[in-house]
Amino acid sequence: MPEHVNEQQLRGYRDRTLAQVEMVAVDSHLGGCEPCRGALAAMADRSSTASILSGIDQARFRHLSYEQMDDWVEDRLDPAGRELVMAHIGGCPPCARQLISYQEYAPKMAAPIQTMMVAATQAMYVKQSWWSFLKQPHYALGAAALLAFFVLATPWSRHSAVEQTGAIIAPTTTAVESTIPAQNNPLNSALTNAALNTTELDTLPDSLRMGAKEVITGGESAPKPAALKGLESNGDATLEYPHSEVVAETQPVMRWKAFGDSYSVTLFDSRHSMIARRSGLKDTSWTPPSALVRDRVYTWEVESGAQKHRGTFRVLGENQRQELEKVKAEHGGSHLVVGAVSEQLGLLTTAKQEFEAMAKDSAQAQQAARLLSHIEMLRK
Amino acid sequence: MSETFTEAQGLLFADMDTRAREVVEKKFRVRLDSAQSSENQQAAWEVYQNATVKLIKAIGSGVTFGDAKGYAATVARNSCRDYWRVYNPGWADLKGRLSRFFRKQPAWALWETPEQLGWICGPSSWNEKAVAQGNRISALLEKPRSIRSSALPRREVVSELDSTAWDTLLKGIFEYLHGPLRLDDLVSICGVLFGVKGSREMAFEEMMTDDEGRAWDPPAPAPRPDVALAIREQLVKLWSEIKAMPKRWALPFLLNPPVMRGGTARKPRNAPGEEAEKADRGEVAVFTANGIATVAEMEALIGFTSQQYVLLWRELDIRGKGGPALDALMEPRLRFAVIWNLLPLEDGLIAKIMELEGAQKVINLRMVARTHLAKALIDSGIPEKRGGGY
Repeated sequence: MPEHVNEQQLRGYRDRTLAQVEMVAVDSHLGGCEPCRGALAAMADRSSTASILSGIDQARFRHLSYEQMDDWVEDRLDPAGRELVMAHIGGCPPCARQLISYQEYAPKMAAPIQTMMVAATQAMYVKQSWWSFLKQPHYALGAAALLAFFVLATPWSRHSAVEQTGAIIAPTTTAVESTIPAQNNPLNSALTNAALNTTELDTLPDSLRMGAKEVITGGESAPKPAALKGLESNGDATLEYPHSEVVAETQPVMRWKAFGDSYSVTLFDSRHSMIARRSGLKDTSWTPPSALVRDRVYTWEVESGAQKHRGTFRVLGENQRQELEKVKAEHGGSHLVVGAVSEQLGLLTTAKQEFEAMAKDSAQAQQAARLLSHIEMLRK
Repeated sequence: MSETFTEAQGLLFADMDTRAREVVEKKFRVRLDSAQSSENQQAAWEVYQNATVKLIKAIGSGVTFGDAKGYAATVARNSCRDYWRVYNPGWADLKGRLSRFFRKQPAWALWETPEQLGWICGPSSWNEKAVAQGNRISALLEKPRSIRSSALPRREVVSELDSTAWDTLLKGIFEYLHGPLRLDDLVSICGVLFGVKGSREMAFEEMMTDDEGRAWDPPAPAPRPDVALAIREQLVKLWSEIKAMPKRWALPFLLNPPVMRGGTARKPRNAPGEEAEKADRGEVAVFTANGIATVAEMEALIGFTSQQYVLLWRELDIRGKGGPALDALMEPRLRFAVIWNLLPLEDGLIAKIMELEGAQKVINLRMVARTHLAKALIDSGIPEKRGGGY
């Protein structure tokens, strides 16, 4: 169509009343003719434009329902439902805050009610059973004999009671320590020589103590922390954080080394459903628009042009997060303890930072270097 | 009020403003013209003024209202709710806790009745029972510790109550009330008991849950010359965002765009000879009509496959309505030109095209697209140019 489009054709194009062949011809012309596009825009229906813009704007006011929050915390949303929740909380801080709170108290509110009536009935039943049991003469005699035995035996057994029951009821620190190889471990003697204060690890909770000691004493042969299970290890040096590790924060700031001018970042959940995407990033970092779910694995991809880099990570579970916070509160001054616990929990970047801080102390530099080397091995 | 209002617009504004004022006064339980100057009344004034600004802009944009008073009431309710959510998150959290409790505990339940707005709650065996008397609810709202003392928690700290403690407390409350009540009223009663800010003053209706919601907000203002450029910027930004979106979001949006309720709309196309009753869909041609995109670009973005064209030809009965045979149109652009004139499509048909289980999935995906687009507009600062939200 060499000549410009006439007004009638523009109206037909705007109103979508042209036959397909003419429409295609007019459309082709408009694609390359700025003046005709200007003329078309001048004829546009302003009310219709305002209406569609407002239609989009209204989405901001469709806040999350409690049903959606229930489905979210119980992982019952399909991909579209999850995308909807993520999209909304990305632009609605009150809903994001409320959903985070909801995740925290939802289990408590859904927990079975301890019915007082049932408990009282059961107590009554037990009481009555005992009485009816003791009312039978042949059992009453036996019970009396048993009672007499306990009364008479107590003074003799009092001094030895702790030794006899202690190992069963409450294992001592010594009993736990005995499971950790104490001899024939070259790193152990190196640690002793360098006077690392590993005794502080003894005060860690049972759930963390053994794993933390393995990190320190195991050296390069230390097993891979269970927390890293299921995370891809690809050693991609372009990705800075997070990759092949656990993160403590629910909105980690994802970072990568520059490899292009503009980046697109996509975040997927463990079922590889996309839950967030951002294009046109100029910076080399991006934060997901909303909090991620704890104890779940996520994959993220950053691409620019034909290049794409991919990393996986897990968000630290709530119980582990609380344990870590407690450790930090009690041992915050010890890079060794916080680093060892962090590595055990899979928080490799945190552990690395702690061991790097530890390396500044010349007395601990050699051991810190060994621990740092182990962290790098875990990522590969 | 805007000086450019016509007399008719002025009268319309007066009607809408009166309704908005009533809603805010009811919600905050204050008289706005009272001589008092409590914190609550100042908050009510702030919310009322925000609602008024939105109404002025809505009227100024020239949109025709089907139900002007209903629109005003919704704008006022939205303003109240947003204020509440931002300044009193404790109340929303408390409602979340109780909502969860009633949904998950077998001995308790939430239900709806035609007579009452929002959810009703109570023991699950009480769903046929009459709602508690208003004077008992009011009394408890004033003095929540009037219930039997053994039902009161030892420490009135919301976060410390587990499901058993809530069960005990709620038994005490319902014993006192002798009947179920609105969840919002219960939240307020508990809120007063626990000292949650604002509980005595406000209780909101449940959010609407229909497709596009009744929670609409004002449209863009009138396209004065100084803002016409801003509107064009918005369209350019939107088109750029749509192009970058995953196709599963873009398709539901482009094939059946949303529109503000009460604004200009088209009826979606579906089966032969049928048109949907609601004419509430947006005009997809807004991008082409404003010279932002061409139909060819639309065609490339949507990218219907041959199988999808077969489906569309069949479902829309194009041949039966005198349209060309699909085989006669070998070029995708010509095929798309036929479909283009038939947009918007019904969500059920879009679901078939996208191989989704049902229309609800299409609605959800379109909402995802809308939410992203709304956020993109906010991020670019464009809504402020046209007046912004609350």
